[in-house]
Amino acid sequence: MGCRVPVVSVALAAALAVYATRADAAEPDIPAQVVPLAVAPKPPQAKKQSPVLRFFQPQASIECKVKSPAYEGRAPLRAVRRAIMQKRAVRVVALGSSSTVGVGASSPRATYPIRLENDLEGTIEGLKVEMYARGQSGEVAEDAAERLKIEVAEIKPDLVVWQVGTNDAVARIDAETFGALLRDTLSWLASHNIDVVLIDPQYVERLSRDERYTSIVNEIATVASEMRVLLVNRYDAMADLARQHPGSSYLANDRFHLNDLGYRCMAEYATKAIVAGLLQADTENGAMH
Amino acid sequence: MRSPNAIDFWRGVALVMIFVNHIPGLDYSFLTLRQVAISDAAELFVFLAGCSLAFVANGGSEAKPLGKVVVRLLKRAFEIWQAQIVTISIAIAMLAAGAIVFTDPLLLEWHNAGPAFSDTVRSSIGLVLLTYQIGYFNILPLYVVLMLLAIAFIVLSRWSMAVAVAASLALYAATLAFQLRLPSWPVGGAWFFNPLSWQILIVLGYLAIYVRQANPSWPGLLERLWPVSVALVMVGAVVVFLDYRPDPMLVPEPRFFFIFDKEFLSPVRILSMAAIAIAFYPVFPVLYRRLGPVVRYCSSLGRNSLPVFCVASLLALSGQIVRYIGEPTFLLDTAIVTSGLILLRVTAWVAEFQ
Repeated sequence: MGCRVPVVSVALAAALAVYATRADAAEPDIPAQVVPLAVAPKPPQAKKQSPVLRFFQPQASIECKVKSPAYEGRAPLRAVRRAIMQKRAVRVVALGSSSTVGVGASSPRATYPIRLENDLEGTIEGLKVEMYARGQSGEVAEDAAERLKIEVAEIKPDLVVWQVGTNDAVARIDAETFGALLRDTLSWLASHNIDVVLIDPQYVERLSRDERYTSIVNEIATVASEMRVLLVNRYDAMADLARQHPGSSYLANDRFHLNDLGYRCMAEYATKAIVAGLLQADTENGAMH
Repeated sequence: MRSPNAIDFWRGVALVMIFVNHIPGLDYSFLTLRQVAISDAAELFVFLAGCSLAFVANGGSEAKPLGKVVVRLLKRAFEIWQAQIVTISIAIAMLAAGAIVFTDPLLLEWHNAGPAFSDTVRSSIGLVLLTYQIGYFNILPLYVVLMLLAIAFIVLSRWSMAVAVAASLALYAATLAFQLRLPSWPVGGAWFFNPLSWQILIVLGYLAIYVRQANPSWPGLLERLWPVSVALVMVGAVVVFLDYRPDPMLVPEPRFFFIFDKEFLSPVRILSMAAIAIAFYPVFPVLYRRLGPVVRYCSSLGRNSLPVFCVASLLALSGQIVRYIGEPTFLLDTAIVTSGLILLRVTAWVAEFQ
């Protein structure tokens, strides 16, 4: 096991270098820690060869290209890296997704957790993901945090991908109370060495000027930055998508179609965030060797 | 129509609390049990259902014919199943209508309702099988299974009450120890309320009435337990006030015995509910004398718990939508609660109308 560490480190560090270079080249104005979405489209099979791992560039489909960054923050995903090093499946809990089981990749409406699983496995060859999708039951905020802890204690995941804030925004919980709860739960996850990627609520045009709703979205960004947690900017990305396609085919036949697109893109953005976090963990580890 | 009694009254109180609890963030939430106790109105509601069951099975004093009891419980389970299908269908339709009227796709994602729209093929099957539940519409599926488990309990109890109670306890312990669950489908995970553990509350409620009927010294025992129960209720209130909850990663295995879990009904929640039941047991006669209209109001809800519960669930969802669409204020919350309480009384009146 020990001899594999440097090899994997080198492979991943090389991949990070390539990834960062390409991202910077595409959007030089964006700070280094923010990976832009508007990178040139890459063929999905473009890959970096290495003796151990083959690293594929995270997919960026044309529909999901937006101006806002896919994710924010820099945080090494140490637990995920540890799982890969131990040659075991990475256990991922996708919380807050209205997902269904039994829908295979062949389904035309493959759900977000399955897309995320496929995207992750397709990005690093040899990576096996065990995905546990758990929906929101609509509990009040403090109970939702309690439930998360119990799910985590049960599943013992390496990574929690948490769509957070929607229930609280719906229940009109004030941002400060919500923020305190989120901080508490993130500290708890950190204390148990579990990696986290947050996903903020969906963009809804009607609510874009609703201060209570946007204050929850902003609070998530504040807490994520403070707690050094990766945050997928679903809200901004969906807002961009809505602006880019006003009254377009996304909304023409079915005004809720944007939701499906949002989920599809979210899996891509989350994959980018996870890959970046993983590479950072690897670089950090490489520096220690 | 029977006159007000303690079971109907407390069941009515639990229904009002469930209605308020089902609108998270409501200014009136502080009036509900969950703000001062580790258990909440759901436990009380199920416990009282167990009390009623004892009357169904044993009538006044002597046991009713087993065949009749079984058929009655089967019919009741079927009735609750129908109520669940109708209520959840209306809830899904309300979310869909809200999404169209307010051009707000987020409503389609509320409380796990997403699959009803994005995976209709599977969810329509799950809906009928009760394996597809949405948030706040998950108590009736629990009741259906509890009615079926109650049949097994009563059949066993006719042979030996000790064996029936032991079987219930064994099922509860095994459920917590081995994490036995009823799976959700097509959404991953399990039922929000685990019937395999919650059945213990039905049995406790049943036993409370059964022992009272069989043992004349029961009120004396309750009197002796009263100070301990009041102390436990106060300790529970302090625990809730301090927002203390055991860390599920740090408690010993099997962890569901030691945390405050609602899905599995951890023992501390049963203890909390039992303490509340004993502590408030002497309150009803006092309230009956002093607050007649309140007692009559709550008892009317309790007498018609199924239709009142269904309407309360739908009113709570309407309340959630109204608070989400509008700007929640104390005035709006007051209007929601007041109109809700009036409509619940109207529901009870309609249900009793001859």
